[in-house]
Amino acid sequence: MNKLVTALIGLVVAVMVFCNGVLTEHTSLYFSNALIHGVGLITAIIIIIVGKHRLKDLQAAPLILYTGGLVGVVTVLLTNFSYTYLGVSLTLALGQVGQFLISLVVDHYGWFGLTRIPFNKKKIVGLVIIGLGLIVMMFE
Amino acid sequence: MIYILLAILSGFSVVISRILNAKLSLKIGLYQSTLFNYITGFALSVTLLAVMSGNIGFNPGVPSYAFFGGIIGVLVVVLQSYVTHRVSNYDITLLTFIGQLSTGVIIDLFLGNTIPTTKMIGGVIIFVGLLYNIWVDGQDRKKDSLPI
Repeated sequence: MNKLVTALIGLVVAVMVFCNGVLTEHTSLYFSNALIHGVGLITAIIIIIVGKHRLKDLQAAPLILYTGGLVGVVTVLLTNFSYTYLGVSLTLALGQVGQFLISLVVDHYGWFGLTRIPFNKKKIVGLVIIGLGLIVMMFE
Repeated sequence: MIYILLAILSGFSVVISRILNAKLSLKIGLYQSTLFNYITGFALSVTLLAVMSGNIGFNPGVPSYAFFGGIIGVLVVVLQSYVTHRVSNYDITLLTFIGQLSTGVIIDLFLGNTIPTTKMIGGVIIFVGLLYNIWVDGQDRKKDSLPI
């Protein structure tokens, strides 16, 4: 059941990239970004109110942790921009490449206080294959 | 090509924001951290809109589902936190990967999005590379769980 939910996340993300992309095509990059975050903000507020979630100990978290939302803006802008030329599946596939690459680095160096997971050299094969795919994509 | 590079960069920002939000949620709670995610995000979005003098307004024929993306974003955040401690990291990577790409392909086909051939072939090769590395992770897992 939980695995089904997990696969569902993938489906939902694809639908989200699509919806946001369509919005961008009918408006503009920065306006759609503001709309998307505005709708999300209203949704989040409703959840807090309906679920009666308390806002407390806000100062317990270091300020840097509150910048996640700012980074999220970058995500929305980049995926919307790419979608207009690449469509859903390619934008997602390339996003996965990016996630994979940064995860390798973050895990290997143990950044953000996460457990150090040294780079498995077998993955070089996969990286080469990915690199090949990227080169192929560069051709017109 | 710029679109390719920026799509890859989006993967960087996804991971970074996910880590920051997860750590924040440990301190102040899941829905609370989501709220602040959108407060700061919205503030920045509006600022960018003003600074970049982006076009405000809608071209004709905006389908209503175009607005669902914002709501779905919140759903994604909640679902990801729900499964994080219930499903292994490996399974999350594999299942979201498959879920994303199969849905993405279906959407693109359904829309009749003609993707240039080289992009499609390159995409398939990338898919193979990613799948291979996910498989390597799977092998490592099996090695770790073998009884001594």
